[in-house]
Amino acid sequence: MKMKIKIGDMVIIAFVLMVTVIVYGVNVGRHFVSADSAVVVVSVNGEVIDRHDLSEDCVKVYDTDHGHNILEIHNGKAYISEADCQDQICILTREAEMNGDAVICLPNLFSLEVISGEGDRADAVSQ
Amino acid sequence: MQFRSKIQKMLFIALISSLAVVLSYLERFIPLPGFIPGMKLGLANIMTVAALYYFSNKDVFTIVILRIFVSLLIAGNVVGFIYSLAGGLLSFAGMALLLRYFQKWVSPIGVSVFGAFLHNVAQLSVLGIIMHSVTISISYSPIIIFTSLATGFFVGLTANLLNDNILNQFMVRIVPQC
Repeated sequence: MKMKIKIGDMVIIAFVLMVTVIVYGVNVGRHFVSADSAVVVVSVNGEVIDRHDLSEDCVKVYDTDHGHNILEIHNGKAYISEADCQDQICILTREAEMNGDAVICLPNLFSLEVISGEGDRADAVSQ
Repeated sequence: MQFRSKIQKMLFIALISSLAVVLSYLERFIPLPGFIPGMKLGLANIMTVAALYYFSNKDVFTIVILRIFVSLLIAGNVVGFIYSLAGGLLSFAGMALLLRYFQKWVSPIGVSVFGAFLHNVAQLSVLGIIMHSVTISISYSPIIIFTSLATGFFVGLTANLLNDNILNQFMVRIVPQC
């Protein structure tokens, strides 16, 4: 009833906002690296099992010990189109297209991550 | 402590934990836009924040552990259980320390926002450990931490209303009211 926002609350809220801005900045910074030679890295249980070029369309089925997932790449966007997990969150997640974007299927320990080719970029800059 | 007997204390611990279990069960039916994996309102935190003002830290710890284990039995989701355990313990520790040392300067809103923030820090760390990837955690962190600010604010507001209007009738606060 006699609710009053105190000075400590403002400090905490400002701190959390600052952390949000910092991690957002880190993400935007990583997005600027993106572009041509991006690669989709597929990993299961933390181990990288496959790589795909983001510029080539493809559909691939992964049946692992942890579950069944189908990866699709269309027009430079990678997403999971089918999965046998309970929650189906991975299918509803936004497509990955920029450096650092990820799609995760937690129950199946399956994840996609977009990583742009740093090596190629360094070459382009030095030329 | 103002409890008349051990049994009365146990009864209130059981009551608060079961309310928390019910809240964490109900919030699964509230859809959230955005489809970030594992995003939820954190309604169970209402009971933790409210309880911090009436129980000793040891009893609140019991409430948090009971809530997480009973939720595991209801949901049957072991991965989710690891997340809840990490998040629940870190946010409890943070909120208890905050109330212990900065009681004068924070209201339940600050306590709850801080708890929600620590809860997400713990969960993102567990995500990073399970997926063996720091970049995945970082790419999810801005939206999750920002959402936790909003949900934490309203959870704190609710906990304060609960304290003033309901729990006040049953118990005397163990920490000075300011």
